[in-house]
Amino acid sequence: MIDTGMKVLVVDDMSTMRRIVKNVLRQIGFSDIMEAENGQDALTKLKAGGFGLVVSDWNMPVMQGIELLRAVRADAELKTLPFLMVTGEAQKENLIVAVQAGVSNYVVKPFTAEVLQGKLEKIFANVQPAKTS
Amino acid sequence: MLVDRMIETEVPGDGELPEEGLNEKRSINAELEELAKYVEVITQTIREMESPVTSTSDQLPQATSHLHDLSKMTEEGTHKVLSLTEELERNREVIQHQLEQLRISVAGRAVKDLEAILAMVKADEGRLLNIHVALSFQDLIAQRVAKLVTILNEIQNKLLKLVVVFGIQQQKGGAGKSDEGRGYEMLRQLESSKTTALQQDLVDSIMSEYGMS
Repeated sequence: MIDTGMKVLVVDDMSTMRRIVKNVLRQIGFSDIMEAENGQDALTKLKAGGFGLVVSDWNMPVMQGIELLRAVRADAELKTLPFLMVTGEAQKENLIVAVQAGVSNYVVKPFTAEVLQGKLEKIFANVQPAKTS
Repeated sequence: MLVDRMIETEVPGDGELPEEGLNEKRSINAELEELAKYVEVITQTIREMESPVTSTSDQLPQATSHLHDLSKMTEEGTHKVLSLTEELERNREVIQHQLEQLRISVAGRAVKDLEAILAMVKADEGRLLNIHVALSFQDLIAQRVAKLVTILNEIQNKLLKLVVVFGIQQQKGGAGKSDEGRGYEMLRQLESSKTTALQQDLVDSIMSEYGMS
């Protein structure tokens, strides 16, 4: 069971993708959803606190999704934050890199709403969401 | 021709050379002749390359611009479809709510009919969401376009190096095209403009320049 009351950060440089992911999350039941255009923007918002989940793209300018993931895992306050990578990078090598960096799960575009929901359910079945303030 | 000049050139002192020296000289001459022919072929090839290289290096910025436009247009189109599906979803929610209210107040066969309609309306929620998610193709297009632009930029850099190394001159607009008039120049400006998306006023200007309106 997903706690849909938590605050979610959707990170993508494409405004269309942020809108799509937000709508899918809303359909699942999430209502407190914020957006960031790149990893740097996301990190600033995450450090401000209060987030229970990050849904991030891989390919972004300024700071890529994988760099954001590494920065999150290196941060004492954020290191247990559930992190879902939603990306068009379907190469096996990238998946391995993301797993080694500590990604919670990985969704390849184009995806369906069921796939996204299924991955979130798996994340929250296995991971205790971080309490950030 | 370099080859002809080489063959015609007389080197003094041939009569003084022994037979062995003359043979060696003939052999060197033959090799030089081959080399000169090779140089001629290369020179000719470079000359033939001039036109395609200059025209390609002229066109590459436009190709990049077209790709950027493609990305932008698909993004705008996707937002439009997203807005429409969001409106449809809002309407669907209202219809579902009203049907649920109606079901409470009706009795008999109408209840069954209303429940059948409600089931269809609820099923549309998933369909609308899937239309939404299917639009993520736009992001994939944008990423592929970005990769293509990178490749084109690399090709352009290599062509520019070629132009510099072999001294190929870029054709400047206007040379030999004076008879094509202002319409041609406007088309050239259009090609080199930052965006390749046609604006109606520009279309009308060009059309009127060609006597069409």
